Parts: sequence; C-alpha cells; structure tokens
Amino acid sequence: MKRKSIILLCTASMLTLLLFASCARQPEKATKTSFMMDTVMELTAYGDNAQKAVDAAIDAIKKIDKLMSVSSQDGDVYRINAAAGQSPVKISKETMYVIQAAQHYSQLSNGLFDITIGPLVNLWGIGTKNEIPTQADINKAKALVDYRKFKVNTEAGTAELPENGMAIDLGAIAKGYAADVAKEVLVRYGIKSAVINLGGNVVVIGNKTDGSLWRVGIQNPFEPNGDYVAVVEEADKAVVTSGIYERYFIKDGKRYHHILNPFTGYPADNGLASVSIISDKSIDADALSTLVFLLGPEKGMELVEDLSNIECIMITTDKEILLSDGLKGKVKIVDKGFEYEER
Amino acid sequence: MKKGDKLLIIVLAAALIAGYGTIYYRDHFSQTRATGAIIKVDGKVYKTISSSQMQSDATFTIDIPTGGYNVVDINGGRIRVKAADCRDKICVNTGWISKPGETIVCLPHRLIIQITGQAQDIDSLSY
Repeated sequence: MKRKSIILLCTASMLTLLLFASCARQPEKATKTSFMMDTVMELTAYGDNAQKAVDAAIDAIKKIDKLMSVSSQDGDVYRINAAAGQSPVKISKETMYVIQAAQHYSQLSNGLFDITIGPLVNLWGIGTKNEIPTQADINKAKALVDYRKFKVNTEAGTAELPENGMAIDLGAIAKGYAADVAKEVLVRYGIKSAVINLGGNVVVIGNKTDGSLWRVGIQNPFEPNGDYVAVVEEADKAVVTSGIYERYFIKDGKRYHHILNPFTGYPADNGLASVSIISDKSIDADALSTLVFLLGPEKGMELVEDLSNIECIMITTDKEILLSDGLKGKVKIVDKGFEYEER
Repeated sequence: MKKGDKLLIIVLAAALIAGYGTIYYRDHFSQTRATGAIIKVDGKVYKTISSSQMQSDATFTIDIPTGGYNVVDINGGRIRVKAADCRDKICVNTGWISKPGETIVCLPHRLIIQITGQAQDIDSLSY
C-alpha cells in the first residue's frame, strides 16, 4: 500500500510539473508604447530580458530624438540650424552618421532627396498650417535648399550651413536610423525575436517565436490607419512606407501632403499614393521610401531595381499595386479593391 | 487503496484538468469575436468600450492631463473623434473607424483609439 502511494505521488507530481512546463514554454514577452519623434512607437520583444531590452531600446531612441529633432534646443540639428550663416557646429558621432547617409541619398538623387529641405518644410508646415504658401515665399524657400552647400567635416566632426535661413531636416531618415539602433540594443540583450514599429517604420528581428515569418501589413492609403492592402512575410528586415495620407490638408478639393519636392517647392504629385521599401537596414528603407516616392512610379522602380537587396511596393492613386521583381509571388494582396497585374 | 489515496488522486486530477482547461481556453477561445474599442492616453488605458457599448450611442469628452480635450462619438458600432483642440486635427479628420485594427491617433494629445476584437492577421503595420 505504501509503495502504491509513493508511485501515485510521483506520477501526480510529474503530471503537475508537466503542467507548469507547458506554461513556461511561452517565452517572456514585453511590449512598450511610447510617443517620440512626433509619432507613436511600439516595441515588442520575446525571450529572457525582454522587458529590460525594450526599456533600453526606448532610452536609446529618446537620445536620438533629442539629437536629431528640429525642435530640441540642445540637439545637434537644432544647433546646426540656429548657427546657419554663422559658424560650424560640433556634432555627435550618431548625428554625423545620419547626416552622411542623408548626404549620400542627396547625391544619389542629385538633390531630389535633399537634407537641406528645412526651409520648405517649415514654410508649408504640413500638419500644423492648412494654407498654401504664396509662390513668392515658395521661391524664396526653394532658393535656400541645396545640399551641395551644406559643409560636413568628418575629421573635425562639424557641420555648417553657410547661409542664413538654411536648415536641415532629418525627418525622412532619423526614424529609420532610430529603428536600426533599437534593433542593435535588443540584439545586444540577446533578443532573437522582436518587432519594432516606429510610427510605421517596421523592423522585424529574427522569426516569430513559433519559427514562422513575421507578417507585416501595408497600409491602405485610402482608409483609416489599420486597414492594410497587402501582407509581406519577412524575417530580419525593415519595411518603411511613405504616403500621402499621414500628414496633409485638403484645399479646394486638392490634397497637399508632407512629401515635398525641392525642385517644384510643392508636394509630390505623380500618381503615387504610397511607397513601401523593404531592405536590410531601416535607415536605407526610410530614406528610399521618400526618394522613390519623389521619383515617381517609373523612375522610382528603375532605381529600386538598380540597387541590391532593396525591394519596393508602390500603390498608385488609381489603386494599382506595383511590385519590384524580387517581390513577385512573395506579397499577398488581401484587398480586392486594388488592381495588381503579374508582369 | 486507502481513502486518502483516492482523495489525493481526485484532487490532483481536478487540479490538472482545471489547469489544462485554463490554458486551452486561453489559447483557443479567449479571443473575443465581437468588436469593441480601447482608448489609451499616454500609453495608459483610459477606457475600454465593450461590443454592446459600441452599439449604443454615446458622446463623451476626454480631458487630456497635459491640457486639451478630445470629444469622442460612438454610434452603431463605429467610433470617431468628433472634435478636438489639438493643433493638427488628424484625429478628427480620420473620421469613423469600425473594423478590428483600425486606429485613430491624436499625437499632440498622445491619444490612441483602436478597434479591438478578432485577432488581426498581421504582426505589425507599415504606414
């Protein structure tokens, strides 16, 4: 009898252990939402130290926000703009890295993407003002935009805007950089599975905890945030979208959005509603989503096909979906209201 | 077998069934199918709206701790920000939302309204 009891107890405790084991199989998950860089950020990480890792990543983004926001007075960008026409400004390594990346894309596009777009951005004030500026003011602002005049001295670690009124704006690239840094921080904490979403700039780390690919939705440009037209399945990639629906105003039936063309001085008007770029690094995807948008459907797609490890999803204002060659067959179009032809 | 043994088996069996049952329920059934909404201010839950509350008409004002307000309207399963004193009015311009995953964001007020319910088919959204 006694032996039976012992066997019973052993079986029972083993079963109980099994129960707890099945609970413990779920890895630690940490999610944090934060408002920074003029947008909503959400970080989700799985695995040991997930909470610590997410907290550290948010702290790192905070620092970048301070350095690169046009409005934080101790930041590098603010100081560069405040010293325009006066003197060079000593800047951090981080800002130097982002400025150089922005200059690279400015050169690549002969100024269609221009880091010194600040005067036009401020003039339009899309999101705060709802008025079309006068042509005279647009011309004045346009004349101040020229990345070739922006002097960057990597050895001295300084940057200088030579003319009064000039201003740089890292709005089209800083979030992308911040997502790369957030990824670095999470990986340093040993995280192997995570999703970083900085206001629509998505970076996925590794695979999902069940080993499958992450599913990233592509926003429907014509519906509220949360409606998606297509799904991309990826691991270890960045997906960044630029569109006409984020910041805009409508005047006399015409939409004026925040993607400004420095050559015309007006928002890009080329038949595109959104451009999503998929790449290894988020900083590239961020800059390219703006640049490819400005280039328009044909030239934009040509550039994407010329670059290695860069893929693209375009949605036109006629609700047509265009994919770069590398994505064909890899993207699921889930909204029947959009036209897609396999070419 | 003694009486105590039997009791032990019954208790343990009951505990096990209850335990597994909870996990099974959590994994398979607890995702509600109905659509409600969740309102968050600065990352904290301000109010959850059940699917039945979503069906009735209601209007209320959210006072933002850092200053300002958003007037929220609920009507027949839809929700919107009817008015706000934020600088960009993006929340108001978004209009009605009703499908799971659809979101209204008021960045200046750090306000998020999201339709909840059926689990979404994506892990993240690029916008």
